[in-house]
Amino acid sequence: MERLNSTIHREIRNEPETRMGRANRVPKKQKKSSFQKFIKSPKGIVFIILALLSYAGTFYPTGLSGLKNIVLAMGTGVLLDYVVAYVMNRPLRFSDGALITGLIIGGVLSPAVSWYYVMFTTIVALLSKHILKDKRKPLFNPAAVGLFISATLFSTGESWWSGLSMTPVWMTAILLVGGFIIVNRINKLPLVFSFLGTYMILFLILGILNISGAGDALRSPYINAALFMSFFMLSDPPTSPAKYREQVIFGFLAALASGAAYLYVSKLTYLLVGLFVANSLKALHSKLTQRNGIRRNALHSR
Amino acid sequence: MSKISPKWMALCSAAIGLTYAAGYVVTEPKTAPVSAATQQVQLKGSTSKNDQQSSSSSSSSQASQSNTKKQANQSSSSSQTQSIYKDGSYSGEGMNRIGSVAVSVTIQKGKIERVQITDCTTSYPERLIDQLPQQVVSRQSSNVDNVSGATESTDNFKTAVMDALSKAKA
Repeated sequence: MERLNSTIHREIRNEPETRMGRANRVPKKQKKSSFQKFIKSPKGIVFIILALLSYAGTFYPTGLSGLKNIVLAMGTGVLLDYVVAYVMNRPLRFSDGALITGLIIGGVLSPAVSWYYVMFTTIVALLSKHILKDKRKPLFNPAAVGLFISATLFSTGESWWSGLSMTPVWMTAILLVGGFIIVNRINKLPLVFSFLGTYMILFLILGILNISGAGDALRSPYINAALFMSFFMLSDPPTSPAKYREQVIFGFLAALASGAAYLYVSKLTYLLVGLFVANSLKALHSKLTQRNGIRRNALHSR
Repeated sequence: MSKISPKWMALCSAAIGLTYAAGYVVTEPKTAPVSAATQQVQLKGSTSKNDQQSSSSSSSSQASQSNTKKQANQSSSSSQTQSIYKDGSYSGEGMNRIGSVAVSVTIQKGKIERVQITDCTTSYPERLIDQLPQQVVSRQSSNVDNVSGATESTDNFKTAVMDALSKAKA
């Protein structure tokens, strides 16, 4: 206290600071704008990477028309989140999550899809985020829910053009670099490695067994879709596990379910089916872990 | 939580890359002949179309471009009708980067009687090209209208029909 007082007095008298005083001085915090914070956060990085991929994805004849879908999906998402926040008496904030969901939906839906399907998909996606949740975390990846329901009900085309499925093959390198940056940043590499490893092995085996269509899954646009899905949807932090061991199991199950869906369900939604199965198992696992924890605590308290 | 080490990253990436390459090579022989066949069929189709257009333009040089196209369509359909198709049911496949379309073409009395899409594994829904089989039957030709927003699916369909028709000619 005395030292503090002497420092204050010294400052008032404009006297030079002592060496110890300089060492103990707490650095002044630089105020960062909310935009700067957003850009440096994982969500901000995802946003930038997805925006760059969407831009790169427009380098094909009808690519530019996909951008209008992205703008429409983002606008619808932000507006809907505002409405939900207003109705639920929550503080009105700009929804960065809705921006990312919009970018994913606009980048997956075919540029030829009508505007009302884009809006429908986004609304379903964001409603699922607010309705299907455990505590504050959504159970399923919102974009995946919207895309799956939209594809099942209306057969809306999905070209995964933000996954650079329509551009020359060499551009897939951009997707790989962008995906690696974000997955490494959010520490989900084991999950993605597990998913992609299982996916590749599964379709290699199916190829050896001469199963029809196995080769397609290893070629564009399917492989681009699988990469995009694993980098930006499967690794979504609220809907995927954090521990490495659980990440490996999660990725493995998602790839197995995707493979089964590719063969027996639909080649349009097989990746989304795999993601749902893994999301459901993760939700089930965390519920069981919570219950066991509560029981253990109750036993200890006795 | 500590992050995965660079060595593990490199090892896993290499393992996945190798598995992918192996899968690609293993599945390549199946796709290569089909794509080669479709390319040949496409080449045949395009050359015959060019020939017909040039012949029609030489016969009526003052005709408008739309008329020339119409004549080309008519002549292509008539030439295909005149050409002898063997009766039976033939399958064909068209494939490009967005997936593949398989069709079954039924020939009766040398004419295209029925066209059916038997498989559609493109990223776009099949309903976008649902009207095309009817156009093939009515025009007796694989020369169908381009579907706006599903150009590559249309290309797949055309290639598949041409593939089936080339089998029917053999």
